Amino acid sequence: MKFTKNWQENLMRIWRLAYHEKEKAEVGDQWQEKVMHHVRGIRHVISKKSFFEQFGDLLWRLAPVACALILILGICILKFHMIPDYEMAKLVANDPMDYRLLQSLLI
Amino acid sequence: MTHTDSGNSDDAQTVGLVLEGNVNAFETLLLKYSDHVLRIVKKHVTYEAVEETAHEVFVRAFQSLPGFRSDGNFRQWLSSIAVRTCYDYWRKVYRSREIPMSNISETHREWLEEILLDRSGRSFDERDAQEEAREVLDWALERLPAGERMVLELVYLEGFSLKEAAELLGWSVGNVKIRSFRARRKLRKLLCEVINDREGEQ
Repeated sequence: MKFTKNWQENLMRIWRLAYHEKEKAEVGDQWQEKVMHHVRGIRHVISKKSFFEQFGDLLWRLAPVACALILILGICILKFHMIPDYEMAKLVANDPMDYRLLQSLLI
Repeated sequence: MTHTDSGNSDDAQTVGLVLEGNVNAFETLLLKYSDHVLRIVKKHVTYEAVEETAHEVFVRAFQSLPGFRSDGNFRQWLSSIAVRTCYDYWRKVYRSREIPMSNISETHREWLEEILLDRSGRSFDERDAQEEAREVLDWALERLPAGERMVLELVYLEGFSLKEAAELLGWSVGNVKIRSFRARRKLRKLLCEVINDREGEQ
């Protein structure tokens, strides 16, 4: 027996009808009272967020960006053989003004 | 201003009242959208879990009210919460396997074969055939993971587009497309097995 496309379509059509039949099931309305009771009990949840809570939310949103930046900087440092302390010292030593200041201090 | 626009602004005003501390104003939204939420929930979860899930939908909506945009469509926003709550219901059920998996009976196999032979048209209006169709559908859906089940129901049984289903579930269109493909493939495999088993027995 073949599993034809026509068979699938036929089955889907019948299933669709059966599926929409589920809507007709009767449900009581007491659950609505329970919802309001529940909601009155948790009213504090929707109070406006404090500054620290808002900052916390923002911090977590920015965390992946910060991680990506750290990763990129790390790769750059490794790739270009940068040693931050050495680079800084070289920068100061090459600066004639700082060099003179360094000399005057040493003398 | 159209009827929908005025409805949206009414909803936004009610949401504003609730956020200002008038919790009782939430009852207006609850009564207005109860039927809409029930229609969604009844189709996606078992009958026994309908009330509990609808309850959960409104509690989640209440807790998420600060995130509702005043220019947004409340009905659509609530539909999305309802669909995601149903998805979470199935994830929970599958994790704990609270509901035992049903088996396919000989009557169901015969019913499937009748459809295959295109003899189903004659009896589908009868209540019995609908019952069988629903039982076989439940049997098949039970065997799909929660995500694939939701996608199959939304796209193939309810007729939502992939984009609409993605918006309701809060997933990307690509994700829905993949799950839809997998769901269809698994369903096909399941039905093939049933038909082949029956042919083997005969």
